[in-house]
Amino acid sequence: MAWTRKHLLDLESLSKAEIVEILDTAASFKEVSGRSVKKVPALRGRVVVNLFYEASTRTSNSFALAAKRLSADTMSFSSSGSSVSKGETLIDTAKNIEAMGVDAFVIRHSAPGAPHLLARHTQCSVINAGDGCHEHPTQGLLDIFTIREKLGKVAGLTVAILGDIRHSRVARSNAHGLRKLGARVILAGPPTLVPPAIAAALGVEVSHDIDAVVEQADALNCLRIQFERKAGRFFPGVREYAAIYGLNEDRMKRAKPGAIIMHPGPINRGIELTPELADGDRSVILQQVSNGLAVRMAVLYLCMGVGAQSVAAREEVEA
Amino acid sequence: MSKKNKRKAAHQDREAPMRQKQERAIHDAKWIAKQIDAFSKELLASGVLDHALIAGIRRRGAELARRVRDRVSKQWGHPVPYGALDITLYRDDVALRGPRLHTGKKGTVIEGPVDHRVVFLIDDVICTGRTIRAALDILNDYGRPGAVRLFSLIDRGGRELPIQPDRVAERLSIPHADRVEVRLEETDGEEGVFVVLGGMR
Amino acid sequence: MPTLLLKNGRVFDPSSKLDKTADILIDLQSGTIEGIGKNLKPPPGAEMLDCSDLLVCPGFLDIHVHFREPGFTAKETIASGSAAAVHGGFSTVVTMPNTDPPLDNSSAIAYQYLKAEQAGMARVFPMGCITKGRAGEELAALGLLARAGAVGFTDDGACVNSSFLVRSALEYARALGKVVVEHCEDHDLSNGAVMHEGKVSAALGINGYPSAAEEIIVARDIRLAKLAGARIHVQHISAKGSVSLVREAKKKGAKVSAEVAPHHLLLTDECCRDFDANYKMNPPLREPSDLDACLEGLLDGTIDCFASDHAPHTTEEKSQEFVETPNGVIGLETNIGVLLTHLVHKNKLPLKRFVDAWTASAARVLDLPGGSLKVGGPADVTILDLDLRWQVDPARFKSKARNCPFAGWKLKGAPVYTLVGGKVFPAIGATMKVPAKQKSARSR
Repeated sequence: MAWTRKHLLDLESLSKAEIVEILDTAASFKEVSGRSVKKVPALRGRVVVNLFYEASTRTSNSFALAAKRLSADTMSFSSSGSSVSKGETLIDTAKNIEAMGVDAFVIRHSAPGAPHLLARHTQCSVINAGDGCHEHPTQGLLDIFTIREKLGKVAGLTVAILGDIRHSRVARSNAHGLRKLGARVILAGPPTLVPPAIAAALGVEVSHDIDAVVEQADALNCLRIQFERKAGRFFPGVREYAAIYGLNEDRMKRAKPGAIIMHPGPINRGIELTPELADGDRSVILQQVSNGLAVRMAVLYLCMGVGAQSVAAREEVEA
Repeated sequence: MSKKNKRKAAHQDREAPMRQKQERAIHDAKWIAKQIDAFSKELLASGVLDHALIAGIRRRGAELARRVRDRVSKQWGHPVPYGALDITLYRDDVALRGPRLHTGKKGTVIEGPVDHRVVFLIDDVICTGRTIRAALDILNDYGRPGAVRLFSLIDRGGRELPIQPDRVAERLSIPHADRVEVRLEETDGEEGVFVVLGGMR
Repeated sequence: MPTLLLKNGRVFDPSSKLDKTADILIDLQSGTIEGIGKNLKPPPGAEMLDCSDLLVCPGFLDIHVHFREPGFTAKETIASGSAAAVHGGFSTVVTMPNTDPPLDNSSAIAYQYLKAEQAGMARVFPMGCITKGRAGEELAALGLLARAGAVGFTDDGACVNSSFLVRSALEYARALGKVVVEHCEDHDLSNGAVMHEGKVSAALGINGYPSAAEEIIVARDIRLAKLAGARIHVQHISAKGSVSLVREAKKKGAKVSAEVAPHHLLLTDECCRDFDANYKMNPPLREPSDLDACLEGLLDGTIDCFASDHAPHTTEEKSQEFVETPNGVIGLETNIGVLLTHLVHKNKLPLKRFVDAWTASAARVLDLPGGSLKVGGPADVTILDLDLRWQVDPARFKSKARNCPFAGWKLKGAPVYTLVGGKVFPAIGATMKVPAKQKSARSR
């Protein structure tokens, strides 16, 4: 197949073949991280801008490093101490940066659809690095990549996503991607944190019985409770949450022998996941992080290649 | 689509490649084996095998290099390090042609260090020289080779960079629009050298 | 004496049981209708407007618009809003008081009347606030507002969540002979939501607003109206449950009325999938079953009338992030076209009910003048071409705003003239009309 997308806005609109293409491309990029010169010239001379309207260290660093490994120049822009705090709109900010001659925006924003809005107003590639509670496509891709790498396949597996589904862009991206690749997806958590219409919206199963879910799952992806999104209002307390919905060693005794534990980080240790499990044999949390780099390289490479191609085509027409 | 139309479309699909791409075989598997043999002999006579690296450019160059390496190692009696170079991320035309996709590629693999080694770089067909330029960049990223010697099965001319092979099995002079293809059992399911008429279009 | 003859139109007025080809003679000095009948003889020198093949209706009333003046004149002014009204086929509009400062005092009401008179287009009737500053804490001076000409009381955009205050407002309004007009939303339950709660909001990760948040207040207000013996009007009804609550209440004789906006009859929350802020309004677009219930309510009289909730915003404001962008869409210039095309021409809504819901029934809800064609009555007339084909192009709107959810829609049927007190304004059908010859030249 030919890759034709200039933007990566969400996994909902990607086809199965496109997702597989990104995963395969990422697999071939993993090798670069193992060299002594961890850098290739593919995007030399291009500029990637990290436009982060929400605090993030992991994702912004992962994108910045991925861009650098492809020899792109990177620039980062965060909402504090910038024109944003002076009331500039997203589009104005983006257009001003674009005027400096940049090629891609990696955007994180608290508003769902902010990357989609940006994509409508810019000539650059737009990569969604998390939009509110909507999607976080590269996290979804790296989770699926890790499952495929660890368990050898995706189709036919049962993947449970546990916890704060309501506020989770990771859950939504995972659900779309996993379903397209043929996995069974169960979203589980307290009833108030699993929106009533989510099963129908994403075509997944919903459960509130963590023990039953743990028994069936090949991969358990624990989500962070998003206290910063006032998730605390949706359940009676942290102690109750940990006891009934958290993942602990006792509960994991029910799990399948090869089941893996994932977490997009940062972990609320002892609430959704005990430290013993996070650092234990089943945990693939650090592999997720290193795979994130390869996946983000693949996404930048594919989308920016298409973006540059359309710029080249435009210049040819103009000339 | 009706059943009849479907059948018709399938029929056209079968015919289409034949109509568009006429091709002729110019060499067979035996010829390729003979060249592998000749390359290997040259390497064995080079006197630098104790610090050599035999590398090929994915996919067909890497396969040719593997055959040469196997032959050389066997006859010399010691394993010679091998490399397979994936130039995808080193291409200079991503902006013009869009991203190249990676189906079946595994990235670059090089056994051992590159520093001070004499690299025998093997490819199937040399044309513009841009692929070789990319391969030299990869080698540079891995270390500083003592020397690089370029072996190509076919040189079809049309150089766009000042890069010349040290050893060529055959120089071909064919129209610009035609394409030379070396096919190997491992990568293509058949073995031989073919000229595809109009294949560059 | 200057006169105008509307010649040979299909005179159509459900409230007067009129549906015949006839002429209407208008006295331009007094702005009233002089005669309705066949082959009326105009006095010499009379102007004539050929209405052959056109539908001649009472002037349409839109009882829910936002003209943003004072305070937000970049979005709309009373002059631009009035121009949009007559361009869209409306001779009368009722403006909402969420201006800055809000219409919670008599001079603000007088200011709107003054601005409307200066504009000299549609008839503009302002509504006053229920509470001071629309803050939901203290009653506004309802008596003085009524004396200044407020035609009803509402905190539109916000719901008065205090039952005590709503009861007090209802009791006051009863004595003043006015209606309390409520934006029904339990703010505690809707909790800052920006779209309907359902499948789409769950997929988009957007905080949703369940229908129950509207229904709870509809139910409460019906009970409070009964308690106070007063009239309550439910604005922009959007949820299935609200429609059945109003239906049941009406059956029991409650003094409740309701309006519905065209977008709540034609669009669902699926429209929000692309995060296009031109589909963001409050109450939000809901589900197909809600649309069906609203249409059913309109057909059986549960819902009294249409109202556009014309809510202009600047393009800059509307090209922000979906959750950040202000609520509301404009409707004055598309109301008639979209409903004719998608309800009347598709035989889902009889023409008679369509006209009634924009005229007599709309006037009755707020006791406004107009809504029928009567000899001696004001010469407010809306003239429609039911078969005119046109395409919605917001660039040609008279409104300052472009936040239209129907941009690009291909429509059949449009207003061609709006008469206000006999004064003729060309409507969107007249300004968009392209003769066949020109049309083919343009397409080349």
